[in-house]
Amino acid sequence: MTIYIFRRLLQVIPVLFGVTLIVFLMIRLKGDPVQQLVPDWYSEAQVAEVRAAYGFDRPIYVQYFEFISRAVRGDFGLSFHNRVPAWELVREALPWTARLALTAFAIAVVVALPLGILSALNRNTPLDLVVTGLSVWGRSLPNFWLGIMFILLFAVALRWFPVSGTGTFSGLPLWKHLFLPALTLSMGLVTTLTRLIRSSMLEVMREEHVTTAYAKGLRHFTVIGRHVLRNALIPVVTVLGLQLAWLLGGAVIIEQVFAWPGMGRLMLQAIYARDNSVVQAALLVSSLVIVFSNLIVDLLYSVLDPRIRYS
Amino acid sequence: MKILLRPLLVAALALLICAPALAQRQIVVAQGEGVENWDPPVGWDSASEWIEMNVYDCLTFPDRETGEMVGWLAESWENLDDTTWRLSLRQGVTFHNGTPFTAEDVKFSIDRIINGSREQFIVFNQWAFVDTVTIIDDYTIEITTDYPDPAFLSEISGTGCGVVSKAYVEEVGDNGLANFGMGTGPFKLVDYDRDQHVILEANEDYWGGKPEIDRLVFRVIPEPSTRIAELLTGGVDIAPGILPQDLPRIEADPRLQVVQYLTDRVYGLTIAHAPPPGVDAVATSIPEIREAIDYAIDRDELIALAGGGVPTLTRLTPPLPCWDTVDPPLYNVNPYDPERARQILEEIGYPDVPGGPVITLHGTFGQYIAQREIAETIATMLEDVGFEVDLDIREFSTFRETVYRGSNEELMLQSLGNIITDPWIYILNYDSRFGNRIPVRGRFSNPELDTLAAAANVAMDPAERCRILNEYAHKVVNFRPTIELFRMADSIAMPVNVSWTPPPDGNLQFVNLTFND
Amino acid sequence: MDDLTTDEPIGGGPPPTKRGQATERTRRLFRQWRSSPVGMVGSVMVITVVLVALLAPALAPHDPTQHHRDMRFLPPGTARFPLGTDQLGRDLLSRLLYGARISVLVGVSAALVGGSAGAIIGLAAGFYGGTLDALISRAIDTFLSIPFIILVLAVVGILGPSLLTLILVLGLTGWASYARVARGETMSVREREFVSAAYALGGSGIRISLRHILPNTMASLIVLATLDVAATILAESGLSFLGLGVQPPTVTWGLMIADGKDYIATAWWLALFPGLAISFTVLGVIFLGDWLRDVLDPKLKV
Repeated sequence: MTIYIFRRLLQVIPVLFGVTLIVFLMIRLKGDPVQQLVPDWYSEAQVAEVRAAYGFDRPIYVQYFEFISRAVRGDFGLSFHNRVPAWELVREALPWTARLALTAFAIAVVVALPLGILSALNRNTPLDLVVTGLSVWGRSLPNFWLGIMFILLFAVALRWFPVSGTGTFSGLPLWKHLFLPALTLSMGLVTTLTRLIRSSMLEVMREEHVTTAYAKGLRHFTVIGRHVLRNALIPVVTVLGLQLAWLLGGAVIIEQVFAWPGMGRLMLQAIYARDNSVVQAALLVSSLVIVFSNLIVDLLYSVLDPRIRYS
Repeated sequence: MKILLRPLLVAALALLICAPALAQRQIVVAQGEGVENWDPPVGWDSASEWIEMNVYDCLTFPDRETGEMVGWLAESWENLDDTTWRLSLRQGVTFHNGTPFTAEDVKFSIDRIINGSREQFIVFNQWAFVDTVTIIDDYTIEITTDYPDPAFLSEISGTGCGVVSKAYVEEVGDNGLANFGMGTGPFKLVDYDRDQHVILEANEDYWGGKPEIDRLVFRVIPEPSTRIAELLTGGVDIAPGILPQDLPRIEADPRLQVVQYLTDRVYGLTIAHAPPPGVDAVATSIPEIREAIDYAIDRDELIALAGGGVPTLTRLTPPLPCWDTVDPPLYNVNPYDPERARQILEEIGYPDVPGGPVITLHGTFGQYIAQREIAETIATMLEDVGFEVDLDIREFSTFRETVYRGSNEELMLQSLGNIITDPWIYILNYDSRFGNRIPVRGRFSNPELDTLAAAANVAMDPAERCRILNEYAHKVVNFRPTIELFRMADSIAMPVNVSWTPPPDGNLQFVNLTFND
Repeated sequence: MDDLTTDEPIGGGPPPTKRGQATERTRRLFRQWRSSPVGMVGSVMVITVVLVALLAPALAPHDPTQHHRDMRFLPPGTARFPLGTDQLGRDLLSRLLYGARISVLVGVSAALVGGSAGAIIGLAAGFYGGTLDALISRAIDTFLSIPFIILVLAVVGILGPSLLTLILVLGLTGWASYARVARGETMSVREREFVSAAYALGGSGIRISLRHILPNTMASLIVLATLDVAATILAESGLSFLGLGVQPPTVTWGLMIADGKDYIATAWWLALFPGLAISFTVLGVIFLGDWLRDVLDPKLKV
């Protein structure tokens, strides 16, 4: 067990290295990043000046080393656009996206659990088709479209929720502002979780101890509740980390629709403005969040499921 | 946790403030972008500029109807000689933090820009006309210019003109100013959250009288359909940039009205007169091709797409000085004549022309009203008269980096506004001596235009200046460094119980908003 | 009905090189297809979309980019424009049919690009093991840790959107999930008897991996690819919404719906029909993928 934890921790180091390398190289994809930074009327001499000022004229490995050593201290440089430290922008935005993603995850679990169970218990029947269809429907529509439809329905027509924003001065409680964007974001996750619960339940149901439980004459629902469901939920925990990557991606669009001041919008604005320091800071921080949540999930998993092989 | 609590605190505070004074007038304005920087010569993005003008005052201010400059922080002025201006400043004005406004602050604000750099201040070149700023006494300053400058009074109210407090900037530094603006304007900044809102409160001691709005809030809502939904549910009161297709929905709401006004922006085509690097030839180097393009475009139909506007051949539009002395008029005309366009093409033997047959039309979207639709429609109009068109639409930041930086071929749709209320920017734009954008992208140099521009830029006699400009405007239209299309209108939604005239430069200045109930 | 496949994934069987086994498997698949409503509905939906995409020029009543300037915002239901016209008077039905081509093209090509790259890398990692495997595994972990859409956005934002860039970026950023699956499958197959036998007979490493191992990993990769096609079509529409998708005059469903969303309240058909088309395709693909997974590889979960 200790060895497993140790090895798993060790694995994080090359991944961190890889993530920083990608983030570092990304803005250099098109060659000279300085060309993207300077206004279009700059002369070659002025461009060279800016290049030197940003250190882009040094050897690339020196630049990379510098990038890492500064990133470790949370220093990604000034936002070219806003002239404030890029890290400060990320720090302001991160909690908003965290709230959105966690709420979406909670909504998705609440919806997906009954759907997945229903679907597994009625495998390959028309009911299965309907449930799969229902759960898949949310992921089969572009989420910006869903978001706009939810606004039209729940906010404009029914007036149940405010349209957008975080409620900084609307006087409404935060959860009212949080609900619609989180619901939109959760739609895709519902699909994944429903299908996951369905398949892992099917798998568990074939296992020996379940067959034994039936053989012992236990009632169907007792078996499902006590033996199947508990084991079937374990994989759900494990995808949390992977789904987080998906949620953060979806947040880009949803935050744009709902005027939510999170990482997605920050990232998008930075991409539009070619604000490289912010793009790097935001991408690196989101990736680190995912790396470490995967780590925690894996460690949790090894505790939760004693069957895991520590190889 | 701190951040989680903050909205609640603000809400509670808002309740506390609102509760005793029920008559508190609040206006919430929706904006696509947030203020990025409160430093007037740095915050060049439109949102910053538009919102900042509620917090800062400039020395002069253009009358939106006549285009004449009126006194603002400068009460009056005197032209001592062609290059020396003496301005008397308004007395008894205080900054929002209580410190008095004096000549020191004006000198500091202008010196900051002219002693800075292009890197630091986007408007650096625009302020290059100032040579020295001298303090005569607490309320008098003298500004000298490098050359006789008929546009002087407009130029000192151009982008970045907001007067900052010397003491405040020295205390908080450039970064402090960037994050929290403080001026002498009608509203003072109370709370600023970059991606969410700007909350302003009426300046009780404003020299021009306290504005009727007590609390002015700007909300950042990037998605247009979300802005409409907020309007319809009362989440915001005012939203500019209403698309034509949303008008019926807003007009159906009894609480709302839509006011349409003409902006100072003009949609036009920038034309390549010579090929960009790596391309052999462009068809638009042939004057007849440019002429045929001009006749092929039905400006009225483009205006219908955009929901309003005035067709024009020139950017010398009202209320710029001299616009009305252009003879024959080039404003409010639509030379649409597809038959003539076809005939011209036939005469020159199109498609067998150098650089032909394909005419590339570059465009982008998301910046101005119906931008992509207009480019697509122009492409079909050109095809209708026989052109072969390659429509090249790119996302704005890519567009800016490639096409806008000089790789443009035949045609490029763009929209240009006037940063000051003077033909100065219009003249400057075609002047190849300064490496300006249109000559750079058009890859032309027209000595005749340059000579006239040089004369117009120093003509201190208004009548003489208008005479030069008349000649200039017609030369531009014949030479076609650009083909202007139409002056743009903007529709702005607001509650029925307010009266407000938005200024044509798009600045969201709310000092003149009144409630009529 | 699923007894033949559930306990033993195809990857675990003997190499399917003999024709008899192959036809047997096809027959088995067909039997299962007929007994599964999900699979049947899914494949019919997918085939419809592919046919529409292929036959678009024959089916479309108009040129999809032709402006009928006097007939803008025509509601659906006229004989000339069955699904109405858009803000520039273009026939919505024709645009929808032509849009299918690019949307399907983007989805399928991106899955192919990502799938092939991922399969080869994963195969190499699983087959050679050792340092190469360790390196590749960490690279996979790295890529799976970066939010996919954000990476695509950043890269497209820097390179600028074009059809080719989109396909390459959407494809290549997705290689890691394929590589992970291919690697796992390869490792489980590598130690089997028939592989050792091939070695004993003097086969080269590359030959063995391509002839004997790759076919055994295909099942899982195909399942993954179907879902990837769906995800890519949606990702393209999201990119269009953000202005970073395919640009006109090329038409995709994503672009149509992104354009149409500004008119949802006044001309509902502009966003509704492409929305339904995307929904229909994605549903079909997911059904098909779900069923394929049940049939081919019950062990594959995500």
